[in-house]
Formats: sequence, C-alpha cells, structure tokens
Amino acid sequence: MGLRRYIVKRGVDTTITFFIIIIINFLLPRLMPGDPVSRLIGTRVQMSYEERLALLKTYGLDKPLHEQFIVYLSNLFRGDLGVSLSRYPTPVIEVLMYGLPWTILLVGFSTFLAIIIGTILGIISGWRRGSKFDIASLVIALATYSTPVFWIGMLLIFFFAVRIRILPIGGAFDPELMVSTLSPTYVLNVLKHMVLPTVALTLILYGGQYLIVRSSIVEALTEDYILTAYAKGLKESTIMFKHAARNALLPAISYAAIEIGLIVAGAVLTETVFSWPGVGTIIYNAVSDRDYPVIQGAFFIIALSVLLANFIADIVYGVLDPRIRYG
Amino acid sequence: MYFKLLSKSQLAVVVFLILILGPPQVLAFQSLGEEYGGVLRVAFMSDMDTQNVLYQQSWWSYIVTSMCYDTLVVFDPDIKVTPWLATRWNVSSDGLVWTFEIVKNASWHDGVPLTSEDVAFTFNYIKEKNVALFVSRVEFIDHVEAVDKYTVRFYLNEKSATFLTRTLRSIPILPKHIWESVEKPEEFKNDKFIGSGMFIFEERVPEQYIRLKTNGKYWRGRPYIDGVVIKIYKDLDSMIMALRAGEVDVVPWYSPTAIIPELEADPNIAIDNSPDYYVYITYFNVKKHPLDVKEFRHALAYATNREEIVKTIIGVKYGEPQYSLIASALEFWYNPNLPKYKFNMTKAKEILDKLGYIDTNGDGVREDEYGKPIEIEINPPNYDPVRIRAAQLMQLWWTELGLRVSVIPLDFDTVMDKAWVKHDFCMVIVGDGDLDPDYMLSTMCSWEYVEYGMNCMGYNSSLWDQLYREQRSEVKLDRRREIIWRMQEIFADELPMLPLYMQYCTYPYRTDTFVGYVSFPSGMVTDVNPWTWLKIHKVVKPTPTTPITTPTATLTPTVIPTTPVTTPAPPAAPGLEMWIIVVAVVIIVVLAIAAIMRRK
Repeated sequence: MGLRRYIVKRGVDTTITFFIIIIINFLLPRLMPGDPVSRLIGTRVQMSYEERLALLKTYGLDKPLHEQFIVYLSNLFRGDLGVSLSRYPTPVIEVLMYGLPWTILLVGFSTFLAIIIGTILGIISGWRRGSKFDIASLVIALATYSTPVFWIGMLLIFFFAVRIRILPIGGAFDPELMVSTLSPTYVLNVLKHMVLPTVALTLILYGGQYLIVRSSIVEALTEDYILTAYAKGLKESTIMFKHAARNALLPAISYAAIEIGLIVAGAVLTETVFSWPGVGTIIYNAVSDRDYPVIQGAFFIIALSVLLANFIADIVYGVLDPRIRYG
Repeated sequence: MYFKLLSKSQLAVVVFLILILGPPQVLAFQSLGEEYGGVLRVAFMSDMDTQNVLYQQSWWSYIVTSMCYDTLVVFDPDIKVTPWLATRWNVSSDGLVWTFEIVKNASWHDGVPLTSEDVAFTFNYIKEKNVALFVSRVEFIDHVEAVDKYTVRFYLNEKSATFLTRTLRSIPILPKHIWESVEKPEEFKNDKFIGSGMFIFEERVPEQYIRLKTNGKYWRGRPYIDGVVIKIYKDLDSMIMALRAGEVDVVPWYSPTAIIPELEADPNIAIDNSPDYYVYITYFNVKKHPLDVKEFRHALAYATNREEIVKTIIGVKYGEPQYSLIASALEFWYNPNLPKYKFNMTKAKEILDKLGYIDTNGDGVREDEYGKPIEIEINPPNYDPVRIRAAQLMQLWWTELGLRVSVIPLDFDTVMDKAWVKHDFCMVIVGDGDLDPDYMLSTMCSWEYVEYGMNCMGYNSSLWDQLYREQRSEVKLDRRREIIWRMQEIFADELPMLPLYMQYCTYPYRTDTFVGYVSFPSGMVTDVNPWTWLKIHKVVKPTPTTPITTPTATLTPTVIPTTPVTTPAPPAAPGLEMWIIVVAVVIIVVLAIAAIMRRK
C-alpha cells in the first residue's frame, strides 16, 4: 500500500515536471538573439534578401509564435520531433541518432567506470580516513575533478597521439580502414579510438562520486551500529561493505542517477576535443546554429532520461529506505 | 671536352646531385611526371549539413558538392568565367537569349549520359519548385529549353550581369532521371548523391567522414588521385594536430595566427597563402548621430591605421589592408585609385573641430552639437581574436581622438541579429564578399534596408540605387567595370562602412604527401576551385637504385620531396600489444584491490 502510493505520487510529480519542461523547451531557444537565417549572413552562403525571406518561409519561422507552438505540440504528440533547420531536410531524430549510439558508448562506459571507481575508492578512503591512501586519493580526486576536461584532453592527445603516436588524435574509427561494421578489426579500431576520451572523461567524472561516497562513509562510521558490528566480532571487510557502505550509499545513488540520466546529453567538451561523433557536439552546434527543432528534440530526450533516471532512483530509495515512503 | 673526364655513370651522379641540391623552385617545375594514385585526406571542421544539393547552406557542403557535381561554367584562378560543362555560348543582340553547347562525353555516376535535357530540367525545376536558396538567382530566367542533345537555350526576362558569374557558376546540374520524380525537393535526401563530377560519392558516415572515389570516366580526364577521404574534426586545434601527426594532408581553414611560425618551421608543412574575396569591414549605423555625418566618418577613417592593424595583428605576409567594399583580390573589379585616408590624427582632429564636436566640459570626451558626448560601441564577434584586437586598436586611436569608445565582443548570431535584423547597433565588424561584385554592392541599396536585408547601415542614395541597377543589367564587362569603379568612388567618399583588411587563406598542408595544389581566391581547397583536383598528385617516393641507370627518365619525379617520405599513414598501430598491456593493467588492478580486501 505504502510503496504503491509512493510510486503513483512520484509518477504524477514527474509528469507535471515533464509538461513544464516541454513549454520551457519551446521558449528557451527562441529567446536567444539571432535565428537560423540571420546566422547565415556573412558566411560563404551569399544569400540575397529574397533568398533569406524564402528560407524563413520554408522553415515555417514566418508564422507567429503561438502558431509555431501549436505545430510543435501537435508534432510532439505524434512522436515527431520535426526537421532540423541547419541540416534541412534531415529529421531531428535522425540527426540525434548520428550521435546517440556513440555517446552512449563513450559517456555511458566512462560514467559507469567513474561510478565504480569513485564508489570503491570512496569507501576505502572513508574507511581509512586520514591515512596516506586517503590523503593521496583525495588530492588526486579534487585535482582531476576540478581540471578542465579539454586541458586533460589536449595533454593526452599531445603525448599519446602527437609525440609517441600510439593512439589516434580523434574520431571514433579510422575511415581509411574500409572494413565492415562490427568486424573484429572495426571493433578493435573503435576501442583504440576510445582509450583517450574514456580516460579523460573518467578522470573528471569519478571525483564527484568519490567525494560523496567518502563523506557519507565517514559519517556512517560514527554511527552506533558500526560499533555493534565490531562488538559482534565481524570481519572488517564485512562491516565496511555490508554495514557501512550500504547505508552510506543513499546519497551516492541519487548522484549517480543524475549522472546516468545525463549520459544521453553527451559530453560537449570531451567530444569536441577528441572529435568524438557524439550528441554533445550535435547539441552544441544546434545551439550555435539556432537550430530550434534539434535543440528542442535533444533537450526533450535529455529531460526524459533524467526524469526517468530520477524516478527510478526515487523508487530504489523507497525500497531501500522505508522512512522515505512515509515521509 | 671536359665531359670526357666523367664516365656515364659519374655524369648521372652529378646530374642527380644537381637536381637534389638545386633550388627548390626548379625542382617543383620538374615534377611534371605526375603519377596516378593516392588518396588525399582532408580535414573538415563540420560535416555536410545535408546531401540535398538544393538546400545546402554550409561552405563545407559546397566543397563536397563541387567535387561531385558539375556547373556549366567555372572561374579560372584569375576570376574570369571559363567554360566547364558548357564548351561555348553566344548571346542574342538584345541579351535575352543565351545558347550554350555542352560537352558530349559527360555522363552521370550511374552511367546515364548527361545531355542538354538535364541542364534544361535543372533550371526549370528550381524555378518551378521555388527553391528558397536560389530564388533570386533564377528570377530573371523565363524558361530553358533543350534545342538538341547537346545544345541548350536560356530565355531571360531581363538582362543580367550575374547570369554567368552567380547563376550558372553556382547551380549544380542535376540528373533529370533522378530528380524528375522528386515531388517535394525540400524533403529529398539525395542519398546516392549522383552527379557528373570528377569524384563519385562512395560513403558518408554522418559526423565522422565522407569518402569519395575518383570518377575514372570523367569527361575532362580523370584526376591523378584515386580518391579523397574527408575526416571530420570538431575543432581547429585537433585539425592542426592531425595535420602535424600526418593523419590528414590538408586543412582547408585559417591557421591561428599564433601558431603559423610553428607550422612554417616544420619542413613538411607549408601554408597556402591564396588571397581571399572576403573583406573584413566595420559597418556603421548611419542612422545614428553623429555617424550620419559624412565628415565624421571621414575623421574615423583618418584615425584608423589599417596598415598597422595588418602589421601587428595579422602579419604583412598573411593579409593586406583594404580600402574598398570590393576585395582587392578581385583584380578586374577593384578600383585601385580610391582615396586611402592615410592615417593622420591631426587631420582627423581638425575635421571634428570644424564640425563643432569639441570637448566643452573638459572630461576628455567631445560633445556633438547638442551637447551629448560622442559614444561609440564596436561589436566584433567573440570567436575571432583578430577582429577583437582590431577593434581594440580602433578604440585606442578613437579615444585619442576624443571619443568614448567601448569594445563589446558578442556571439556571432547576436551580432547578426543586432545589425541585420533589428538594425539596433552602432558598429559591427563582419567579413563578407563574393567572387562577383554585385553581392557587396547590394549592401548599400536603399531597398535592402529591411529586416534580413543586405543593408544594415541605413545608407540611402538614389544615385547608388540607379547605378546598382545599371551594373546589374550590363552584360558588357568593360562597361560594367566602368560603372562599378564609379560606384567604388562614391563609396570611398560616402564611407558608410570602413573596410579594414583581407586575410589570406592561411590553410596549412603537408608537402611530403601531395603536390600540385592550385592557388585560388578563397583557398587551394574551396568550393569554387576545381583546378586543384585536376592537378593534385602524390609525391613519389625516392627509389635510390633506378636513377643511376636511367637518370633522365626517372630522376624527375624522385626528387620532389624535401625529405624522404615517412609513411604518414595512421601510426602503424601496435594494436594487439597495446591491448594486451591494457588488459594486463586492468587485471593487475583488480587483483590488487581484491588482495587488499582479503587481508582486512
């Protein structure tokens, strides 16, 4: 009874949030100065005035804002995200699909790696607070966490791709290879291209998880039940993982949920530095090209996945901690 | 006589040495023994926006289209209209009927022969379907008909000076058998990208690469190279690093000024220094007081040291100051006799004094006749350090002149929106231009001062409008040039905008892989330059044994490279070993962690 009501309540909350997001999603891109046609002035497109007007009409941007909103809503309910303007006439979903698999591969893998590394290091570090290991890993985590990823990226590229040349500078695989997709050579080539961006991304991502896990472990250690567990004569590793970690992991779960939800948003800077063909750069370009439909489509999918991840996290929470259900 | 002292093989060695040690220019001329083969790797900063050639809006897409499709005419490197698919043409005496003969041996990439039907179809189709990006390029065409298999006739409504240079030069000829069934061109994906050009579209993985192979049956004779791989990088630094590491052969984009010396120090990298048809210009809002006063604009020009801008920011080797709205690279159209407003602070101050713009309250800022301090805001786009620094120099000089000047760099779209849509600005710095002067001249026409119009300044002159119309319908080149020179004189006197500089196309390229790039305004690799693709060929590796035996025959191609070719291909990956190491490291880490856990 309790849990079911809790889930329904969370579901309603999520739906309301979702509708607010849809409206903001429509307005926000249009509030930016400039539009998809004015950005073409002063580029090598050399359009005349008549051509600029005709293009506005083709894009449907000559219509008043409320009509555009109705078109947007009705398309959305039919599951149609519209057509990209800066890649006219490619459908938005197709544009996003260019990058989505690659982003999920790179950012997804790095995020999970970061969560696992961050959690394990956090537990050990919190457990042995004040030890040399704790201080060293804390310093390293703070350093990587606050370093700009493009700088780490540039350094990695410089050493591994320009100096010793064992890894490629960028891209997801080598177009000169000419092998069919998913053949072993292809997979190996993709993995080779993944090494540097994964390292860079994991380095900057694990810090957040590490810090949260570490501090909640430190907090948990002061609790009485840890003392009790010691008194029962349990093994230290059992106390560390079964007693302390399990209770300390709640805040870490919600942090991880946001991270996982954001996987589909890609990682703009990392993808740019490593020329990784992901969603991040597509979104970045869409914003600078004022490509309204792509911005809307991308934010829609991101919002959806963040909401979903949080919804799941809320439920996991509820399952793990009965106090929340009734709170 | 003395030659007898040397045996034949000794002579060969001497010839060989002379060739090796001789001046490089001489060697370059001897590299005529081009060999077929090799795949050129080009770095792009952005993928094609769409394969639909009627809706492309990015220069990168134009480049690919120009490689896979043909136009009726092209520009030669002197920017003269030159036959391409059209071999010759004639015009009726009233200038309204144009008859073109086209090449007889052209065919589409799918094997269907290209005929006059395709040409007529292309233009009638664009007109009938009202394709947004071409409306003003075909508006004066009434209809086009195929007279016989290789003759096509255009009937125009009015005479047009830009018919050849803008319409025919830029519109790709489409295969009728593919496009005639396309009802809605705005929804067509053009996946196969079938054209008649020198390269055949092989594969495109969006956001990653585009692969083209050479059209072996190209009507003009096939290019030397076997194909082109276009690799898409997302950022300029990565592109340049890829060039230095040998992952690509050419980067068709400006090298950042700061790293040019470093690139030039590399013996295997050179900088293309083609001129450009782009001029970087400060546009004034001449509706805003006191910018509406011509003499005030003259004073600003006298207080702008354009030579200094080029010297300190761009470097004299990589740009030149500009004085007209037509780039000096358009040698035929550019009027070299314009007043240059040589930097003269005293004169500038005199003009302002004469206008009565004097600092009355002693705060260091001059006031206009209404007692309002003269304030100027310059908006360069925030991504271009050159324009920002130019604006800062202008700020320095104009502050000394007694004006209150601020420089506020803005996002490119905001600059465009402020100036060209809302007309709410003071000064913006934007680069623009075209190979035909018409485009830039239209920026001063009164009817273009509307939202999205070409004229952001608010300049209004019936004389200019009239001259613009005259040059637009003047088909005789010399007569048209006379009008355009006159217009430039008016421009230089009125000065509603201040041309600053032209930046050469500082595209870096490798010299140890391919040679034969052709310099062209806007670059060696650009959408309007087919000549590079015809001439470019691979550098042949030195073969040390053959030269001795038959010196004259094989020597020439062997001595081109400045250093022996080090295989620039992606560093032969020690793939497997590396992976073994990585896996080993992971295993060790996992074991170590497990061991630590155990001990506790």
